Amino acid sequence: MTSLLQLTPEEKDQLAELLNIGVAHAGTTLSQLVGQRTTISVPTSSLRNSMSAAHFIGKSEDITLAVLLRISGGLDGYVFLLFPRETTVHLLHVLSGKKVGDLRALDAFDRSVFQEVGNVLTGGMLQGFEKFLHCTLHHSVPDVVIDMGGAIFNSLTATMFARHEEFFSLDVTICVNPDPDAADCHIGEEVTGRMYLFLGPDAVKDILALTSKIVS
Amino acid sequence: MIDMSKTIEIRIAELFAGDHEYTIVTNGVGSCVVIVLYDALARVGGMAHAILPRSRGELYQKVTRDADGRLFAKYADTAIDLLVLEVEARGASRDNLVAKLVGGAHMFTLLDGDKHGIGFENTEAARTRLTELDIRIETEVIGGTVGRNVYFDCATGVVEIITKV
Repeated sequence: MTSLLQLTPEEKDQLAELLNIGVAHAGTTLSQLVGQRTTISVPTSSLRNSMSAAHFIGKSEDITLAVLLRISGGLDGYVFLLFPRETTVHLLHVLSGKKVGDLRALDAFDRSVFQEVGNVLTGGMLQGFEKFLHCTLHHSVPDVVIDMGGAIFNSLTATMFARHEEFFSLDVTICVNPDPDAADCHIGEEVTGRMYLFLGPDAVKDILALTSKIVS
Repeated sequence: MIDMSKTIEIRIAELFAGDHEYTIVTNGVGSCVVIVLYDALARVGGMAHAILPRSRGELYQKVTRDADGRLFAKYADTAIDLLVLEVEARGASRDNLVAKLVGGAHMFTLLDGDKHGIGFENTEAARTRLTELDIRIETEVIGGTVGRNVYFDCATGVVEIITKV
């Protein structure tokens, strides 16, 4: 199995380029869905391993909505979206006109709205990847979970650690209808979400093989 | 009445043992398993928040201590072994120890299929190790699909579990 810690600077650049393209596509499709300006931060990628357990960003006890999708086809991995309460409430209002105060009150229809958000964001990102890598990618039906953010995040990372001793993680911040003068997302802004892409060593190896083929 | 208890919050993969002055807390327990050990006679207890099931034999290589002296053991079996040593070092007797297990939830159907996921494996690993060490499991609040916060009072041995959905 390839160790991600052995990636060369060129390989890291290749990955960064791919991720930038994917994230840009995801931002465009989300903007079309919500009909508002959206911005997505420059992706931060990191290598995570099971000795440096991932820590949840935010208050671990806060009720949070999460959407999880599995990627298959040319690559295997997971896309994970995390929306705090304010973002969830805002997105639901924008997309369905419904106002809720407590995420625990979300019904099956509301959850399906966030499945669609997951489809759109992930579909957009995979479209970007497909164009770059010249391969076919699919994603699963989204799984929507509402619970404490820390419990959700820890459950996901535990599964990732159980499968791969180390994995590649992409972390972006999504802002819906941000300050018009703002050029970038700011963490702490009222309407923000986070998007993670988890890829194991084999998926990274596949990406590098494809990009090397294209470059050469 | 003046509350003299000291509250310690442990993070994921961390463990802590203390005497009757301590309340140990851990938040956001999903598929992880929380192991609580308690000696009611010595009024000494400990808690471990394990993220993965088995260390595959590399027991003490998987234990780390940070600059503040906090202990981390990510595997359930290793965490139990270490927790037993920690509570014994504070006056607990192995013969008096009882265990309580919390967590092992199955939060994403997409990740784990229908039945067995990492939460199930974590729970099974903890049960197996406790049985091997001949420590009786007094109570289990295991499985389900929800996250939990866990509070353990070392003075009384009472474990309080809070869910939010």
